[in-house]
Amino acid sequence: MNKKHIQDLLAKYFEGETSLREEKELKRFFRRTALLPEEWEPYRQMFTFFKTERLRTMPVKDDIQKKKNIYWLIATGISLAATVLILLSIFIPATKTQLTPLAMATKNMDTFYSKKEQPKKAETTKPVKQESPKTMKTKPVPVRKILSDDSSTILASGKKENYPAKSVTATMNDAFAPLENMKAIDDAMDKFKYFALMDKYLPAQDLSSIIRDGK
Amino acid sequence: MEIWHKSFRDKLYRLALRLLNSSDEASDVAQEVWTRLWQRREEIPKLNNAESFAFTMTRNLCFDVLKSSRMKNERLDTLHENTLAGPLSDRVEMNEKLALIHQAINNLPEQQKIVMQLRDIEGYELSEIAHTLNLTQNNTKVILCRARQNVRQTILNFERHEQETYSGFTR
Repeated sequence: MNKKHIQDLLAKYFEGETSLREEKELKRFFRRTALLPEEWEPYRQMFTFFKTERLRTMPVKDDIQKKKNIYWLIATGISLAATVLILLSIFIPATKTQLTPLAMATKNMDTFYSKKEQPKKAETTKPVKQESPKTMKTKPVPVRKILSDDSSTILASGKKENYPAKSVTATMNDAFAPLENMKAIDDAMDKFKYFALMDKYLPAQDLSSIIRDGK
Repeated sequence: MEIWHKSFRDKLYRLALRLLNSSDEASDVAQEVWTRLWQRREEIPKLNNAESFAFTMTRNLCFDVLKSSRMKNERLDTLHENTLAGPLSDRVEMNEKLALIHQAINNLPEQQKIVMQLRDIEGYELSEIAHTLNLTQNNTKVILCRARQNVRQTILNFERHEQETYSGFTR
């Protein structure tokens, strides 16, 4: 019965009339049945051939492997770049911490100068205007002479009004004359103060113009 | 989608291998078809049968390869080494009879090869194969029938020949 069934199926098969299910049945039969009539042995070979052919897979080609190598290179490159970035991100904050003392210094300078600035400005503007009278009375020796003369006149006439207030301030200025150099240094230092402040408050692009102007 | 699965690319490869008889050429064709499909991936869902579209593409590319004179010259040399030196020969010892069946299918006309490949090896419905080849279902069935009978004829001829030589030897 079974043999007759298979024979019918085979006949149908070679007419191209079998369904996919029937063909599966045939394949299974020829694969599983150990003992077959001799005339069917070639069909077993045929169906096993179909079966084995279906197991063929596309071989991995050298080109594809090369492409994979390229992808691998790209991947390693990207990962290397990433590690470099990570290292940089570690080192950049380190440099910032190195800069913070400078910022602290500028902060100190800032408070230091802001306290001093108001009297300084008044002083710096005044000497420029007063320069001509100052030069007239700068020499300490004549002033002392005048003073001595005045004192003598004071002693003589008893007039206190003869004692000139201006000459007193002049002498005060003379007394501070050595400090004038210090003031000049201080003024010179002012520029550096702004340098320090620039680092803190101004963006890098503005630096150049400020240096050029000297303010 | 099923056509993006690796197993489908293997199907394309096997069809190309059936037609070209060269593992290198077949994998090139399969790869090319796959990339072309990928380039047109947005159109794929609109197709009513993406698989037969891919098979048609494979067939056309294989025909192009076969047409080129370069291939014609090379084929005579590479035919035997490539067909027998495949993954199959590594796994299964290809005995004489399997080689005979291979040869029988190899000698078929292209259309019959394609139909037999898609039906008996890949297990596709006739309607799908007809769609691939742009034929009617009846025509496809006729081609399939001829292919099977040709293969059977080759096997039987060989058997008969073998029996004759065997009987001749015993005498």
